[in-house]
Amino acid sequence: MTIEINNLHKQFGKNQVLKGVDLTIDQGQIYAILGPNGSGKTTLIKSILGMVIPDEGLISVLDTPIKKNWKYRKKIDYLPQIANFPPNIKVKELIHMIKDLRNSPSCEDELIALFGLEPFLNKKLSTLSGGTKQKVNIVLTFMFDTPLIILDEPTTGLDPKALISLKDLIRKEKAKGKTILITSHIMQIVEEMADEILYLLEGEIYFKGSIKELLKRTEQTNFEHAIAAITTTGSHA
Amino acid sequence: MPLRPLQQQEAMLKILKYSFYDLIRSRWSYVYFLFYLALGFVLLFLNNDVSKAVITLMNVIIVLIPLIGTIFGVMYYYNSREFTELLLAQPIKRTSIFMGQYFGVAGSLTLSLVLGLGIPFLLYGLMRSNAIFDFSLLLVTGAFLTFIFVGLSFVIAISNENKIKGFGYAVLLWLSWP
Repeated sequence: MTIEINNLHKQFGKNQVLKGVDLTIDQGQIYAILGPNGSGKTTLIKSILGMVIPDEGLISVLDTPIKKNWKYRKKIDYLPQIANFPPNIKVKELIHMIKDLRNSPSCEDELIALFGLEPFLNKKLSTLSGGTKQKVNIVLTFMFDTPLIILDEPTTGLDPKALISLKDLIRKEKAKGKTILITSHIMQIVEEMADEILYLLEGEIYFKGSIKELLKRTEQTNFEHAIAAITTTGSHA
Repeated sequence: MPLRPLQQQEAMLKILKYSFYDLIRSRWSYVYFLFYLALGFVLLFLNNDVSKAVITLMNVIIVLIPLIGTIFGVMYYYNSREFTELLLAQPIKRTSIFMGQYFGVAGSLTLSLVLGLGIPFLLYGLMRSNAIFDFSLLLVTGAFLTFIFVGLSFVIAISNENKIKGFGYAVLLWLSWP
């Protein structure tokens, strides 16, 4: 079991974001975390990463409870939703910095070539376009070899070619037996990549299962429509 | 484990190094540096006396440094929030990240102050005057004020997610400074 979550609660002020999430995530699968805006997707991911400290509940990553622990993050690669880097350092320096901080072997050269970032290596990050920043972001995430990868909206701003490269990359990582969590609003990607769907609604897991099960449950033939129909049909998962 | 504190210190120093690199190349650091450079030259030229220039500068920095320190600290924290998130997902302790950023900001501001005032005074002949001690005291005061107010601004920024509120409290903090 890669991640185990028991009865997770989190409240921001008066806004209760997570209301008792129970979840187990198995190794070697691609999970898509879906849900309407403000359903708690990002909070759930940040709780797993230890950035948000839960009010209640237990989280274990790779059989280690994460409370007051930071070493388990060596085993996680995280792609944040917004790629915003220090403006005055160069791409090369940023890659070097993250390598320096993690102190583990990395394979950034392949990824730089894959996304065609060579001409940008000596440019400052403030001069890059949004899509290029996202490519840098992806390189930073995938350059280490970790058993768990968490991607928060990985496709933002990518051109079609980069998107294909990203999908290949995700498939390759999965083939190595890694567990991958993805959040995305682009259903086509989810349909293509995900083995399991986790649907969050108002701070609870509303549905967990494969795409087939989802289509059956909602009596739809089209995945996008099934997602849209999910809240109107069927009971809790 | 005896290694742990050392590793954490190392991580903090790395973060400090990179935020310092980032900041000393920013436009604001140059502006701040050039401001002190110009101020130093102008005051020395007008007063024609090192001691008097030091006194005037003391009056200026006591008001100015808290303002720049708080505003700059708050601004830096809010601007680098997404990157801080990326750092928080790395296997590093939280304190190392925030301390590294704090020393990076305070250090780069102090460097602008020391170089900006140091160059004109050295060129003017500080070493031959009898105000070396006063001048050093000026720089030490400036450095302490920078570290204190950047620290306070970080506390404000961390405890206020709302930028407008954060800036508001930062300005209030400066206004409450005599």
